[in-house]
Amino acid sequence: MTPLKIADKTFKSRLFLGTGKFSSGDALKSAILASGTELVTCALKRVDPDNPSDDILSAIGDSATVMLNTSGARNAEEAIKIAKFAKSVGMKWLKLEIHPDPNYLLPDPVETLIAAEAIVKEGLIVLPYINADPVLAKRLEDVGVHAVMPLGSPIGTNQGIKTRTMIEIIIEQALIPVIVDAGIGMPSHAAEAIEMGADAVLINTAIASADNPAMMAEAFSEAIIAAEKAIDAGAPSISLSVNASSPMDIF
Amino acid sequence: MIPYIKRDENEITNRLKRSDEQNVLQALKTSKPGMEELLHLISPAALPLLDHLSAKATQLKKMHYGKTIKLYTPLYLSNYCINHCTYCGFNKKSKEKRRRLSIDEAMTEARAIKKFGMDSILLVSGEDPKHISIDYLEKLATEMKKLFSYIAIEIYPLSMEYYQRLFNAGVDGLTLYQETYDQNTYKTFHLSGPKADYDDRLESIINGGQAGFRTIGIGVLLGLYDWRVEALSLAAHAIFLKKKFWRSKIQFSFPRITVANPQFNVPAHVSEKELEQMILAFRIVFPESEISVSTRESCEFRNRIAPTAASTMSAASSVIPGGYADSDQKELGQFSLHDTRTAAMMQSDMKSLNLDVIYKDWDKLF
Repeated sequence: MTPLKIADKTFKSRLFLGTGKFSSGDALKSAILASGTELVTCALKRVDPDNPSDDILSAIGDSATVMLNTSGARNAEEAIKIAKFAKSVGMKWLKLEIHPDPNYLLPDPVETLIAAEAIVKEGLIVLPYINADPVLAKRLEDVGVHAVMPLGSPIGTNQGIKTRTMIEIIIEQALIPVIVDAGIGMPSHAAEAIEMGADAVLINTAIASADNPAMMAEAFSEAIIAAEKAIDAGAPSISLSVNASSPMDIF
Repeated sequence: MIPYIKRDENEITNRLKRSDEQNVLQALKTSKPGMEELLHLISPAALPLLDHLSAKATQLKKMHYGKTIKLYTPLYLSNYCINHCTYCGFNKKSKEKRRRLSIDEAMTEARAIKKFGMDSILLVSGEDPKHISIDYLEKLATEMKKLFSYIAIEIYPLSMEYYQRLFNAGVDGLTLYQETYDQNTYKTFHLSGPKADYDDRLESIINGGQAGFRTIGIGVLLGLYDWRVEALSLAAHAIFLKKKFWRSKIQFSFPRITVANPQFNVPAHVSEKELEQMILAFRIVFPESEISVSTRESCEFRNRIAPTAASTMSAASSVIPGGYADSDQKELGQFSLHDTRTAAMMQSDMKSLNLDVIYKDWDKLF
């Protein structure tokens, strides 16, 4: 597969990692290293970027790019505040997530679109977490976000890609990278996402909550590499639309 | 029972008695358990199956909260009270010395708590609007927000407008226990003062929901009435609040009576094993909700419940106004404590349980 590029950064690994549920900074660090990930996300509410000895941020260190996320924000206004803060401390990558519902953590499409438009204008690299809604994905693309992150199933449920039909449409229509985020519970789900044509996956619970997070991180990494290889090998059952991320690049 | 439950209480107690091992195991297999399953999980038949409940709860705790436990510390502002609640150390008949912290004194306490490493604080006081006015609370919240990311209150009920002033001043969470959902029992223990009005208390939490608090904390004081019936009322209350205030998170607490007054006779004692059963059952039926376990319980119990069910715990608590800056205080406490570990000791004990202690889980930007 051609390497994944988001904004101006090229990624070797299609595995992105969440950081919220690990038992310690050490456990997080070994999972990052074992996964080979180059992009990790952490919630501003959990970290203190002004504190050089912050547990999570120091565990990440230089091993991956940090993408701050707006988890906890209930509306566009709060998310924009966090984005401006991220910019003020020199963080360029922002995972935009606005989930007013604290139980299933389902994203609010209306507030997300409003916030995305404003934050893109701030010059940040914006990756919104969305429900698997193809029209919303296009609307976000129109306001200039750098990738979309539709959910496979609700956060933390490990149910796999229950929104498959809609994610297929998002991938078919997208001109920007599509990252399946939330709900991926097993390496096979991650492979399935890549085989469907998703550009990357973001995993948190499945790795952090495993008995051996580093080993699980490695398992995910291997599954994703296997799926990439399958696409390169020209699996006949994989649709031709896979990886056609430019309208001029259909065949 | 809470008026939201329309079934007859006799029917419910009969069903609790009839519940058997098969019902319990089936309830554990249900993918989206509700009131029906809760009934089986809290039934006497489930008590010998605690290992099964524990395994299921642990799995759900890990999925929704990861290998973590949040810590907070309560700050007692005042023990003046105009209510006569017979189980409470602050009740107005008590002859003990009273104290209300001034804003400066409260901030001295807050700084002492901050030094433990805390970033989440619970402000507690008795009911007495003359000593703890809305203006005092509003000013205090504004000052506290400069030190803490997360502020919750456990004070007397307020109107929607007053709650909103506190929310706007930086208060994130509201805790208001009904104490008991049984109307007759409620009357027996709340003899006078505004708190004697059952319906008013039940409605006040709705004011808090409307004001927009992020977390709504509810609970019963265990020991006043049959805990199994109370558990069903508590769950019904939670389901009602979750639907009505879908943007707020529910937080359950399960305080057992540990009275300051040794003369008080606990009418419906709840054993530690039963308490564990109840907490595990709530983790299973409300996997995404917060469960808080306070220092009323022992170290051993809290260590056991941290990986299986609790998402948040108080630590290094004092229940005496002014107790942090001056640890020799001999004033009136609200109840007695069993877990007296410092924050640092909690952190190292949690680490040995493979749990990461979270101090910061919020931000002043919100």
